[in-house]
Amino acid sequence: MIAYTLLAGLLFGLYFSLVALGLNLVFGVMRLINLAHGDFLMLGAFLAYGLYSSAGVNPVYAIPAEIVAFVLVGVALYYAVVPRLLSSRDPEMLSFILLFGLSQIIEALAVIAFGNSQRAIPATVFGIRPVSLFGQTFPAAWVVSAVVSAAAILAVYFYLYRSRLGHATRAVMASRDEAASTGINVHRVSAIALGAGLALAAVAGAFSPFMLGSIEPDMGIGITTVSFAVIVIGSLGNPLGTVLGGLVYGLGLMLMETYFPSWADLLPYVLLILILLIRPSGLLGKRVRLA
Amino acid sequence: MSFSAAERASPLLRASGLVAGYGPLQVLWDVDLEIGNAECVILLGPNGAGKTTLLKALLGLVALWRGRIEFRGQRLEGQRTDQRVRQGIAYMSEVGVFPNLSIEENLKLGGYYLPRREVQRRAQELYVMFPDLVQRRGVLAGSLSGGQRKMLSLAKAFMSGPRLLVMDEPSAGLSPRYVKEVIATLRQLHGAGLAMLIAEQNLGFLELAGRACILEGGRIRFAGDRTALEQDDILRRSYFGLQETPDAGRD
Ligand SMILES: Nc1ncnc2c1ncn2[C@@H]1O[C@H](COP(=O)(O)OP(=O)(O)OP(=O)(O)O)[C@@H](O)[C@H]1O
Ligand SMILES: [Mg+2]
Repeated sequence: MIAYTLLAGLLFGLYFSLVALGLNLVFGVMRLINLAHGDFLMLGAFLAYGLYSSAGVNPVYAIPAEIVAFVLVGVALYYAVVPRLLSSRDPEMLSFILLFGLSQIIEALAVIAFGNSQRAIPATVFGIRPVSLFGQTFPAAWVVSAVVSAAAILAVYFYLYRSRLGHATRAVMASRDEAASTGINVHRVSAIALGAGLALAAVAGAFSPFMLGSIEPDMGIGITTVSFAVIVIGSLGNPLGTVLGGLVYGLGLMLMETYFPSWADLLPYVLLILILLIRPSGLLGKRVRLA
Repeated sequence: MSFSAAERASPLLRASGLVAGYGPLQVLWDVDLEIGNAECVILLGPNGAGKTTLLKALLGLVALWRGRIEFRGQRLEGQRTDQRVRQGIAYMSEVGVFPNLSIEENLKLGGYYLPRREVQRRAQELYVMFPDLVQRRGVLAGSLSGGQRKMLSLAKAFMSGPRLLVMDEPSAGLSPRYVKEVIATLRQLHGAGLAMLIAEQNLGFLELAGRACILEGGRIRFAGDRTALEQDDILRRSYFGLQETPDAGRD
């Protein structure tokens, strides 16, 4: 029982890392919490659902489409809003209002477009045979989601630590002015980071039917809350710290669902309160605040 | 470094009538500044005079309210900071490095917009010039001592092969020994034809400069040859600390 719970916690932990990764990347680069993060995940879920229901596309094969679509959305959103936002008198407050509004608008439009009914992609798209891991058996959809998440985390690692663009991105995380005066086009780098952040959310969305439950237009706000808890637990502003937060959250969730099922919904809030009381700078702490 | 006929005739950088500030606070009042090719200009002034603001205005990090800036015959006012840097202005801020990146990553970012092969070549050259950095190239810049950090920020700024190196208080937080080392390195770079604008309070840097400007309350109070500055009694008292009477140089 405990082995099963821990392994399931690991699978879900990887998935929750992916869910929150984009939020942390965007926070690191732009120093703002994307309150519409969960809504972009919802849109990614509907895109995967649309591709599945219209053309029978397996969510794994929907990934390239998700990435292309949401990188474009992110880059366009950045250039439409952020440069003007930064030249305003109170960019922090304004961006908060703007992102909150964006979240509401996306949700409202999604209700109009998709109705209020719940959608699902049957887990049988990955076959009906469960997968066995270390003597325990799990639904194939869980394992596929975890593997995709791990691959996405690895991709983010290579982007941030092994590419020139990534070095520039981390430079922008440290200081926009310092980066600009090193010859880095800060807007271009940030726009790509926002695109990557939304694409990560969208890819997570494609697997949400198996990990989070049915797809609904109003699922965004809850996901934003969970993602926020995950990145605060890990380390705000350090994308790879998200993985630690995700694993803690995933394990916590599985333990709660096994031993205190009726309390499981409270987990993000409980973890948030605990971490803010004990280690407000996150488990990885201040030293690695910057990626 | 070689200069075209046009470049020899006109100054490298010419800023005129600069007015800038923060929100409602005006800091710079009609500042003019010229830097010739391969010239070193030192910008002196008390705390809060607006030295940093002037440098940032030149780089586009602080928005210009009025005025014009020409660099190698090109107007800079409408350009983003990174575009100005690409024209050949390197800026070494008081921070100067990215603490979350390794030495090698910092150095390579200095040449962000150069071709990869060029970056590799220049990095090798700089490692020869700054031997301290070689052994520690994998170490995070944030873990370096103040002096090493300064050397790294100098190497990073020089990486792009700039025409003009703009520096904000390169001596800040350094022990006298390191200040000497920084000055020696700058002399070497200047000797190779690099023009410099150095905002400083440490007069040790005067020996590098052909010309000095004194900024006070956001206005240029003096601009001229270093020797003229050294001979001016009042300025001498306020900036060289050679005070005959306790209150000399106050006004
Ligand atoms: N970000 C800012 N916001 C508002 N006012 C500022 C800001 N930066 C500087 N100032 C003000 O502008 C004036 C000039 O500051 P500046 O930093 O340019 O002076 P400085 O000559 O570089 O001084 P120091 O020798 O201490 O570095 C000061 O009165 C300062 O209070
Ligand atoms: Mg200053």
